[in-house]
Amino acid sequence: MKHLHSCCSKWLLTLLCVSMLGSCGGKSSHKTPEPENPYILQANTHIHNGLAAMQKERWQSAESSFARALVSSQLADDINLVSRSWYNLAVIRSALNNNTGAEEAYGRVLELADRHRDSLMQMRAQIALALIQEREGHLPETFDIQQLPASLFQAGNWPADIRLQAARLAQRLQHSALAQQAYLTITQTKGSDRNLLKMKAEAHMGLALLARSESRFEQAWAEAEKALGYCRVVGAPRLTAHALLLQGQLGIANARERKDRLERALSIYVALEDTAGQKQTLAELIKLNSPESTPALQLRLQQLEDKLGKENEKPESFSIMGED
Amino acid sequence: MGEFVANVRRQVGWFVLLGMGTIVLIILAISLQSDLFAKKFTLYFSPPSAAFFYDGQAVKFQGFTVGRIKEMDLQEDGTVRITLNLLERYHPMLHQDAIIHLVRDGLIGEQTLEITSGSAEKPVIEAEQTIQYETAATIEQLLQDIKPAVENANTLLRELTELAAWLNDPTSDFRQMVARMNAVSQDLNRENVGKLVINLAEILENLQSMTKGLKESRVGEQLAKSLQSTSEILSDLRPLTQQLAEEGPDSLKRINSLITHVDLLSKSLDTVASDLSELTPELPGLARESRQALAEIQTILKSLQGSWLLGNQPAAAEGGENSVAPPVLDMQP
Repeated sequence: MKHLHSCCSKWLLTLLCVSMLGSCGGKSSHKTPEPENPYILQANTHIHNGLAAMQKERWQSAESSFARALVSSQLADDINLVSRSWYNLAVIRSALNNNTGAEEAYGRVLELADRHRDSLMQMRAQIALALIQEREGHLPETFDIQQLPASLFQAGNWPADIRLQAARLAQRLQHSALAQQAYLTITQTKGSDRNLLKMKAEAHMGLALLARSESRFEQAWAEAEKALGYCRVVGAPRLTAHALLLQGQLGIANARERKDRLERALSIYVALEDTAGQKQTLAELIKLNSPESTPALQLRLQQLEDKLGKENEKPESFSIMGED
Repeated sequence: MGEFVANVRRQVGWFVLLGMGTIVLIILAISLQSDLFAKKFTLYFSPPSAAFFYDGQAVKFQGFTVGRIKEMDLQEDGTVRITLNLLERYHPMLHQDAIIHLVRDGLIGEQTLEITSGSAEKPVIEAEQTIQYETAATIEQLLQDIKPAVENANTLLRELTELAAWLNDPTSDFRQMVARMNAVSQDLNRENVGKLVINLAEILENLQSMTKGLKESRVGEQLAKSLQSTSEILSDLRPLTQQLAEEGPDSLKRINSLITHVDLLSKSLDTVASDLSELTPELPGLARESRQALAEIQTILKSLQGSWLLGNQPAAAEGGENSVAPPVLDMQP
């Protein structure tokens, strides 16, 4: 037995020495620094900053970062970066409710993707553009979701963000089966990247909305719960509030639990200064609360409606998100 | 015969006397030199903790050693009392409002006690008196002094522009630091990971000192916070890298921990870059340089981790898809 132990340890030691020598030998050669295009570095920095700002819903900062990234990538003459910068800019303009600007930017992405045969960017921009047009109510009559590749809605090689947008578009166009299929593929995607986890949360939220529309309330509750789980990991307060509001709207839970969800959602909407969310949550709370506590809530709702009325008089207001 | 014996006795007596006299003279010379018998007076002070003090620790006044710590006591009420033994000849120079505080000669090295003279209008300090102990301002405290609220945005922007120009100057300390860091990272191995981290620490210390210049700025405060957290990470990182240099594959757990720390540091630098991006486009570029060097460390650490049998597999390289913004969807029910 002792002999066996000593043999094993000798082998292990030898193996260890060889691997260490190998690793040291690999590192002994001097690396010659490769020249790097400063404009590409600059563009990447701006993109990185823009994405970081997006995570915190600092839309104005993200827009300026992506605009700078676009200039830098144009100076570097890197077509891929230019295309991505236009796309990022379009996403932010859409979040800022600048739909004309967003459509123009998506148009540039489609043009570049078509010219340089970038099928991924083309699909990404095409679906995102259709989502805006559908939201604005001017989706071309020729557009048919069935014309999109079927693999988008099944487990294919498409990136998760494209599949998520396709699912959302299908949902908005009342193609529930397609939407559900696509959302499910996203929830089954493996990975721990922050963006992927956020998209998984959105997919679960999409499934919850679908289930509710089909009166499958228990499933809707469960899907919203899954969305909340991911939101807690990545930190997505707005989506958290939406999921809590959805749960508060579902009649399957008892009044106490629903009230708890709605109050939690309301706190988040207040913190985010999301008046539309606050209004919807307050309306749900009024429905749920006892008559004696309702006047205070109604007064609050009235104040919000007055505020919303004033905001609607302004030419451009955010429907989705708040300002920086 | 008797005379011979008497002579020997006399000679031995003189020899012994001369020897003893020499010893006494040497003792006297040494004691005069070291103020052993010089007249002294006593002062007390009460720091919040005795952690940085020890018996015999020098007390300096204008750079001259004027005394030492005689003893340290923990009082019954839990307070610390330190007794100073100071040379009487310096007594007239110290006034009633003299203050004692700990100073460090350089960024590293032993701390010494320094006593200030106090204002000349006040009477000379009395022996056995308790003097005030003042904690030296730390970098953290200095950073906390950067107050929020900007009344004049133009002033802030001008200061930042000047700062950016200074940073971009090839002869500036910051640039030289980055160059040094890059030079080290060219031939990175286990031994000089430590060096690289120390260089990074120096860079961040430089950045911290720069933030002192950003007066009354909210952005300055945010930046300071980011840098403070970065410094905290670095302070954890330094002992780790020293151990890493000394130990072999046994330090695998530490490498994993080191990778986590480097990740954290990298994220912290990202925050710095993000905070500054709205003001000056040049600064994030500089922060990015540091981030790139960190990325190199990450790669090398991960390859070390992979080569040491027990380690995890290196993470897959990031694809270009990461530069695409995720969709912003309206999911409100």
